[in-house]
Amino acid sequence: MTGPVRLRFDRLTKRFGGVTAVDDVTLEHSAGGVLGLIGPNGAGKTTLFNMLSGAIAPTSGRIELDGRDLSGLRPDQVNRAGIARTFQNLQVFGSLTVTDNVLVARERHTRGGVVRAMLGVTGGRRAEDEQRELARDLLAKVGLERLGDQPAASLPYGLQRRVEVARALASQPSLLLLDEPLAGLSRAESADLGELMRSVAAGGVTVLLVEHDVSTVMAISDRVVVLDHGTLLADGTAAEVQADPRVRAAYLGEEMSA
Amino acid sequence: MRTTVSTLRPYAVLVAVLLLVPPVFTRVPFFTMATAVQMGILAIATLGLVLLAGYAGQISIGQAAFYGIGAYASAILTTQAGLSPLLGLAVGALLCGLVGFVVGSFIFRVRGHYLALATLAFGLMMGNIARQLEITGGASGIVDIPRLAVGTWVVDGDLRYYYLVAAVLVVATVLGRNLVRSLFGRSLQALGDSEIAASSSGVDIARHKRAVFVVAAVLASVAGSLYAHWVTFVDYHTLDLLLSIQLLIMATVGGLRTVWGAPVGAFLVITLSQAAQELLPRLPTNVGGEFEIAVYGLALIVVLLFLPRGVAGGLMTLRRHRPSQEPGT
Repeated sequence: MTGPVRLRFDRLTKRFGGVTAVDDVTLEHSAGGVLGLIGPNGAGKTTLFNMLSGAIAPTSGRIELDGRDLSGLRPDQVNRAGIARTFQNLQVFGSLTVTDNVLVARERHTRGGVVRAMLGVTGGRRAEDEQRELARDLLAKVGLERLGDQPAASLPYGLQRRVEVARALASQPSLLLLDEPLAGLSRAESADLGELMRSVAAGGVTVLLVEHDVSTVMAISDRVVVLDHGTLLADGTAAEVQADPRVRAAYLGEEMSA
Repeated sequence: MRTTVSTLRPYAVLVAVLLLVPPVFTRVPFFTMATAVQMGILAIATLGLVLLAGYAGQISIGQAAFYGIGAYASAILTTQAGLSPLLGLAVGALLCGLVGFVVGSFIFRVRGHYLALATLAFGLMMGNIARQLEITGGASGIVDIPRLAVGTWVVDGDLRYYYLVAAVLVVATVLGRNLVRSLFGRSLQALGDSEIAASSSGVDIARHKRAVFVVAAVLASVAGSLYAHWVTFVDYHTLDLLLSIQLLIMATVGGLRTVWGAPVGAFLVITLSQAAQELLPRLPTNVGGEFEIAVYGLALIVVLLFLPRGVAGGLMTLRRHRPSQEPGT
């Protein structure tokens, strides 16, 4: 892959007490495409993901996005730096409408502040209309354009996933993190979401996909990285990774024979 | 904000109801205008709690502390520094905002039950301080606080005072409703639903929580000042823990996720407490003040069981079978 480096892990390590969840991981990824991250349970995928989104801080090492060091940033700062995420266990804002879920990610793009909000002088009707229009476009992109006024909690599981994707895209990220986005989805829903990921990636957003469902990852990822016991086990195209005997031994073998 | 008929109509209803209170309350023997003043004052403080606990999901059992700071600031500034009551109220609100800002900067390091306990501790602490300090009059409090005056016009009599309180309540409701309908307000509600998701969506949750904490503190302070200039007397009982709990009950009974929950809750809870006091002497048993608390508890259980969104919230759900919530409720 060519182009400037979008994401870099530099000797990234995370220890929890005596357990090293992520062990000295170094990785570089250029802008664009879908990067699939797989690995057996306990491989360190979630830990890596949480460090990347600012939920937990690395024990040592660095994370860089477009050349900027993200170490020690809070999740909202990481978001401002250009990383948006979805959640494995859905975290939609249940009491808000679908549109409002998306608008939350737009708040920082408006003239905010609690005093302005109370006085009702937040940049006027046009500013909010602009944000609404953007939200509408995003909802159309994920196929929720007709459900904008519904409370997010009232939507079925698969559609709530899409709400999360739309909300994440509303941050206009350069890197989109998807934490097991296919978990609990039907085959048809998975295929739809996979297509959506491809189209997001085609739009210039780098997609990092952490997934259990190996076959989907293989199908839609431009590059697959395999993590095992906190270290990088394999790295390459889907075909290369699938052919790697160590991967088959550690992970794919058991899945495939199962 | 869109200024449409649908935006303004609820305010027209609020004003109409508030204007109906005097003719009704002066005729129904059960109520007096003093009751109405009390309801109005508590509704203002409750509104802050609706924003803080209802929308942003941050429970405070210490709102009486800010109510007390407002009341004492008004008392001290007018009786000892010679400020006009209106200025006392304003300075008190500013001071409360400042205290809210400082407390709100660190109290949100704890969450959920721990936050509730931290605010409880803060409330108890302020109550103790008020009782100990010389400037607050120690255990005997401060008397002869001047009545509120606008220029040379003294707002005397419960009826006039009621109109003043009602006007403040309307202004506070407009500000509160603007807030919850803004993008800022949606972010508050979002962090009440899921902090991690709000944070990951770019919401600086610490700043948002602090901001709404300050708003709630200022509203409680204004309510406390209005109280002080009405009863012209404050002591440490003014910021009793029972008031903090009462405010929470009002917000819950009225409806935590709607600004209308504040006036509705204040009306219902005060009415209930009046009824309990009327009923008490007629009871054959020998019960005291606990009876009122038991009635509160019972009301709370009934509302939570049958109207989890509170009375105002329940009423709104009933009539909200309209196609959309746009541009906000």
